[in-house]
Amino acid sequence: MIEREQSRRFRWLAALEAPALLAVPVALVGLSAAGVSATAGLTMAVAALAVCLVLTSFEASRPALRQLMPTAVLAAVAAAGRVLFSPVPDVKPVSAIAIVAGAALGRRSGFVVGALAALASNAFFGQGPWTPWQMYAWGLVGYVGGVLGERGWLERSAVLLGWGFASGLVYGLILNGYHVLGYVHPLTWQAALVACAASLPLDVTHGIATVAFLGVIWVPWRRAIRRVVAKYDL
Amino acid sequence: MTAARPTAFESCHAAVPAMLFTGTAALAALAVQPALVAVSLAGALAFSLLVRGARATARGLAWQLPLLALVCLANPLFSASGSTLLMKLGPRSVYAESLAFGATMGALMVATVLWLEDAAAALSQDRLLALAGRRMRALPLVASMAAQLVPQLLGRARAMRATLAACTSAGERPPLRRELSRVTTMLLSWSLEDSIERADAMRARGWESGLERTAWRPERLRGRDVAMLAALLALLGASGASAWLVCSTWRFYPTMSGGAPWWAYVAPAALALLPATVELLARAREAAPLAPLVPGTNGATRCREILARSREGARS
Repeated sequence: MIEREQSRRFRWLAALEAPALLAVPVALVGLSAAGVSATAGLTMAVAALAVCLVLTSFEASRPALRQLMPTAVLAAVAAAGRVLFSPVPDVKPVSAIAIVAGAALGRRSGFVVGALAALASNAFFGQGPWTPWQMYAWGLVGYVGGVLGERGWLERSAVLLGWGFASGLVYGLILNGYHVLGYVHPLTWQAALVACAASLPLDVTHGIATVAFLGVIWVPWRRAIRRVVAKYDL
Repeated sequence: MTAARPTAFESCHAAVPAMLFTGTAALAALAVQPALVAVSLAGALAFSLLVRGARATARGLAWQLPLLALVCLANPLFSASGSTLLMKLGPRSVYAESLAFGATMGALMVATVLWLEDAAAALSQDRLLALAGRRMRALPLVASMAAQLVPQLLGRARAMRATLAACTSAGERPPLRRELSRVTTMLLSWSLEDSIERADAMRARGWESGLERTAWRPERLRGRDVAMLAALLALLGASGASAWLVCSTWRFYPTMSGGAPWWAYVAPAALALLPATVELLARAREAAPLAPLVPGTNGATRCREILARSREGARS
C-alpha cells in the first residue's frame, strides 16, 4: 500500500519535472516583459522551486546505493574540478561531468550532480542569488544529458559534442538572462541583445572547453563508473 | 562559514533560525525599494559583524562592494530612463533614477549574499540536514557526502600535483590544462574505489533495510520553539504585507516617489534587525553578573541559578 502510494507520488513528480524546468525561462521572460521590478527575486524563487522539485523527484525515485555513491562522488569531483580549474577563465569541467553522470546514471542523477556541484563549489566562490540559477543551469545540462543518454543518442559523437558545446551557450544564456532581465529595468530588447553579445565569447569558450573535457573523459570515466558498479554490484 | 563563537540561535530548534533567515533573505531579494533594501543591508551587516567578526565581514565586502558598484553602473549603461539627467557618456545619457535603481539592485544583491552568509554562520550544516526529516534519506546523504568530499578531494589533488611535480625523471611537466585533466581523472577513480568502503559500512549499519534513517533526534521541538515559530510567522506575515504596500506605492521612473505611510516600514525593519538584536541580548545576559546573594536565598536556589546559567552558557 505504502509502496503503491510512493510510486504514484514519484509518477506525479516525474511528470512535473519538464514543466517545472520549462517554467523558469518562461517566468524570466514573462515577468521581465511585464515590467515587474521584483523580477530578480521572483524568478530566483521559481528557479529554486524547480530545483527543489527535481531534487524531490530524485528522492522519490528511491535511488539504490548503486546510484547514490557515484552520484555523490561525481558531484564532489565536479565541484573540486571547478575549484581546481578556477585559474583558467571560463574553463570548467562541471557541464561535462554532469553530462557523463546523466548518461551513466540517469537524468535525475545528472541533475543532482550538476546542482550539487554548483552548491558545493560555491562554498569556495561565495553563495548568493546566483546559486539557485547555477544549480538550475548545471542541473539542466545534466538532465538533458540524461534524457539524450537514455535514448541512446549520445552514442553518436555529433550529438554528444553538439550538446556539450550548446550546454556552454545555454548556461551562459541562463546566467546572463537572470542578471540582465532581473537586474536591469526598464529593459529594451536591443540592450538585452547587446548584453548577450558581450558575453558570447565567454560562453563559446565555456562550450569549447566542455567539448574538450567530454573528448577527454567520456570514454574513460564512463568505463570507470560502469566498472565500479559492475565490480562491486553496488 | 561557521561563527567564531556559538550564536544565540543554538539554544533553540534549528527550524527557528532557518525560518528567520529564509524570511530575511526572501524579503531582501523581493522588496525592491531603496529604504527597505538599506534596512535589510544594515541588519545583515550588523549580524555579520557580531557573529562572523569584523575581519570576515570586511573580507567579504572586499568582493561584494565592487559587485554592488558593477550592478549599479550596469543599469544606466543598459537602460537610459528617468527625468534627472546627471551626465552624458558619449551617446548614452545617465539619469539619477536609473542610477538609483542600479544602486538599489546592487545593494539588494549584497544584502541577499550577506543574509546567506549570516545563515551559514548561525546554522551549521549538520543542523540544516537534521531539518530534512528522517524519511528523506537519499538527498541529505548525497549532499553531505559531496560537501565533505570536496575539501578531501582538493587535498588529494594538491598531494597528487606535488608528487607529479617531484617526479623529475618523468620529463617535463605537462601543460596546466593537461595536468589538471589527469589529476581530475585520477581523483574520480580514487574516490569511486573509496566510496565502495563507505557503501559497505552503510550496508553494515542497516542502510536499505527499510527502517527509518535514524532514531536519534539531535533537535527537539519544545513549546518555547513553537511559540517562537508562531511569533516569527506573524512577524514575517506583517513584514511581507508591509513590504508589498511600500513596493506597490513606490516608483523609480520617471521620478522617484512613494506614498506608503511610515508604519509600513516598522515590521520589515524589525525583521531585519531581529537577528542582531537577539544576538546582542543573549550576549548581554551572558555577560551580566549574578545577582548578589540576598538574605533569604537558600543555597539550593543559588546552586540552581548558577547551574542554569552555566547550562545556558554551554548551549548558547
